[in-house]
Amino acid sequence: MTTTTTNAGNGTTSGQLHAKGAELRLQGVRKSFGDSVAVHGVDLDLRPGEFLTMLGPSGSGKTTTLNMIAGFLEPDSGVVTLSGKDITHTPPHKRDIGMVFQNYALFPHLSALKNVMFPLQMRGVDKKSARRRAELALEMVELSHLAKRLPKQLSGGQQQRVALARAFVFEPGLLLMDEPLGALDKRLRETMQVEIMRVCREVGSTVVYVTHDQDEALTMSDRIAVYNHGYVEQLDTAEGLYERPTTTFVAGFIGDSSMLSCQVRPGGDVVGSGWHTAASARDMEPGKATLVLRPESVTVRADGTGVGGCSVQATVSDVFYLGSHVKYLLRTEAGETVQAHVPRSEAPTPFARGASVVAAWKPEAGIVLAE
Amino acid sequence: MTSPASAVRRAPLRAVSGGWLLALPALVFLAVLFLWPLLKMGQESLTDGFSTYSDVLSSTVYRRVFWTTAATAGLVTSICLLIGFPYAYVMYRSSRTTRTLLLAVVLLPFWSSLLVRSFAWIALLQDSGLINQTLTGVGILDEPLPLIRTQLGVLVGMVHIMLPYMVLPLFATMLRIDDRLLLAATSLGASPWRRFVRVFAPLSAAGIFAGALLVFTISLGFYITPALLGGPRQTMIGEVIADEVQQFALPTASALGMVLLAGTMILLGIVVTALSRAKERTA
Ligand SMILES: Nc1ncnc2c1ncn2[C@@H]1O[C@H](COP(=O)(O)OP(=O)(O)OP(=O)(O)O)[C@@H](O)[C@H]1O
Ligand SMILES: [Mg+2]
Repeated sequence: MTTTTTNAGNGTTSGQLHAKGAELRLQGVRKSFGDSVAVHGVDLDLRPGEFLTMLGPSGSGKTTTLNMIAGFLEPDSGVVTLSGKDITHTPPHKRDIGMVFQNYALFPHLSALKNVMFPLQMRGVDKKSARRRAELALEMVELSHLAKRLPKQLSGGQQQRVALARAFVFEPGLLLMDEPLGALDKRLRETMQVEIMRVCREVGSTVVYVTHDQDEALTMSDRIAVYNHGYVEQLDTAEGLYERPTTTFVAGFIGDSSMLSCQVRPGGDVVGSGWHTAASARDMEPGKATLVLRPESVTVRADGTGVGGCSVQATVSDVFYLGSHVKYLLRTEAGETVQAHVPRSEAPTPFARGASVVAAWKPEAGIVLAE
Repeated sequence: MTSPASAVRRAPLRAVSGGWLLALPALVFLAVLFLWPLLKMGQESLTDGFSTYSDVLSSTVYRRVFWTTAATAGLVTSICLLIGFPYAYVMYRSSRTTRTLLLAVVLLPFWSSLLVRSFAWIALLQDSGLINQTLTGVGILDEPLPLIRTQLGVLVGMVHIMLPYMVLPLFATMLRIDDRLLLAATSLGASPWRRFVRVFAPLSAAGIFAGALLVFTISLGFYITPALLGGPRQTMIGEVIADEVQQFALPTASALGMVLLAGTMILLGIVVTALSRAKERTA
């Protein structure tokens, strides 16, 4: 714990609480409840100061993983290390990890200030400096003026800020947040996302953040761990997940995409129903596969003339005018759906529903994933 | 919890037209069976003017009885809290079946008559009772212990009867404590003991208060138990009032009743004020 109160005149009013981001490592961490496995051997490796988000559908094991990091659950097997120290069996109150809960879990009998002072007092900080540091923390979340209020006298967003201040006030190396914005409406959520990112950057802690909102994950994170059925399907940056998904689950979960079933032939040719690409999957085993197309890499034309890359014959089954672009849902002759987002400038007179068209894409834009 | 919790306050009663009518049966009941007798009692106590009050208040005997009454009720309340809190806590932490079992045990006294229980205590505690016979029989004691006709006897009998009034409100309050608050306290660095002191106990405060209030006020009016298990020095105000009534000294009995009522209300007023001050200070 380091308090750099004399922050060498960097001119900002905040940023006076500063933690040393910890390195977090999970190795083969596994947890089951009775017969059902909630988390299958998860490996994670976080750099100091990194913001990692666990993203995944309900019941995929995100909270269970977080609880094992926090120490509320003991893994059946595997090792959790924090800054090189094995903490797998350390009781939660000795871990020095800050945590924000989905329902905030503020102590209802204590004012905002006393709530924030709590972790400091638990660490034996004397009352006067605990108070000073709690006031600093509340200042960082812009809540100084409400320090004396009880939690029930605060709005959801304000309670959220208190919970955040309480989690970082003791300058923990690691901050855990389990869907901290789940209870807020969309507008407030977006404000709080920015706020949380700012505060986390200022404090400097390593962060593990849980959400099932993909926009939130894409906005906030350095890297995202996509969870599915207790596995981490892919761990990558937002860009990496979007550009290079390694499983169809990730491709479907992050952003919009169309999936066409196909066959990889020996030699790397990919053949679908009504389309094919030559030698685009040269390093793949022959067999069944799926072609993933992002909607913005698909163009829609009246006919196949002058199409250089791949194309498939289709009918327009729906058109949506979305301001800057037109969104098409196309139906191929094999009955598969292809989505296309065409900028308005390229589609001055959009195709109508029922029109017969050709959906085209560049071979390198298609992602071929083995089944 | 998306909006201030204050926004989910109950809708005002007047939204239901004539909603207060719902309270009418209880109000009538209280008016007829409590308020009216109370007024009659007040009137009765003034039959001989205020002289009854000055007699009552200046009598050292009555003063001592009042003091014994308050002290006994206070002691019973403290003992009930001391043994009731851990009991309620164990209930709160137990599995469903254990919990039901513990609840049944604490409710058991309710299912037998007060008189029977007091006589049962006599059978246990008296000089030739089970406890003393066993102790002398085994040879641990030469003389029987003075268990009955003492303050100890009164306290044992009263605590036995009053314990459920402490345990039930405590348990109900503990059940409503959000587990996640305890997890939060742990994650913020609180050891189990400090978590208990700083979070669990304060959140149980409402139950402690309700339980203590019930036990204390009910204890003030005890009559049979101290009469059977206590000696002359343990005489409580209830017994004295009963004596006065039996001797047809109705004004004195009424004045004693009024003093008890006023004293209780003043005492409670002081406690409530002190508690709300303390609550503000810790917030
Ligand atoms: N205490 C428990 N006892 C039994 N099963 C549990 C327990 N906690 C979690 N599970 C199960 O483990 C799996 C993973 O749960 P977990 O809470 O980690 O999901 P999650 O990814 O956090 O989901 P959500 O987004 O809904 O919060 C689920 O199938 C859940 O039913
Ligand atoms: Mg969860």
